[in-house]
Amino acid sequence: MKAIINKFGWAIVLAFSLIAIPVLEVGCGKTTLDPQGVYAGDTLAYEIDKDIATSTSVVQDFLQWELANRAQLNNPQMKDYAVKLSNDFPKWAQSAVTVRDAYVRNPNKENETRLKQVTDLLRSAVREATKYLVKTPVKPS
Amino acid sequence: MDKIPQYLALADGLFTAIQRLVPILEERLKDQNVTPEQQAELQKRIDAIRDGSAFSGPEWNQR
Repeated sequence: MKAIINKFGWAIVLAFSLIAIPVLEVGCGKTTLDPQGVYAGDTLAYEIDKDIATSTSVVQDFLQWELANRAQLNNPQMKDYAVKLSNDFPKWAQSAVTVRDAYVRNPNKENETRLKQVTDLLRSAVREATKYLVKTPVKPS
Repeated sequence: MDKIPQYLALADGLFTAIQRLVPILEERLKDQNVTPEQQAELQKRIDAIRDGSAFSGPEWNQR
């Protein structure tokens, strides 16, 4: 069993690192908003909100999983990261929503830069959380 | 033998990642027509983030 995990563990980590980590940063599909909806055809606002909401969901999944399995995982570094993230992420997400509101009202360069900064922060949290979710403790022999 | 709970927890993490990330990737790659209901749902999620109610569960603000 250990030999199988040794062989497959790193392949799984690598596969998911390649696929899952950039998941919020790819997109070649076209989004069309029904103009009757609350976004009234504003694709920019929709896409930003989608990013914020998706980041929040991924981080929440990580935090719920880590909390539920903390004893079995027995990983103090992951625990410390999860506790810190559970406190920092809400502020980051709320800041992203505030900056998003400002940007949608006034899409100038300054607001664009601020928006990029806050969304980069959310994405880095998603990358870290994803890495922990797919990581195995078993080192290859 | 004593590592089994740890492996189970990690397998659970992997499945959580798969369940969450594959639909996101699927959405990102294909064309989407977003209905008014879907837009309203997203708006509700953003409102919950804005007013903090999205962060009321025990997994948030841990001590």
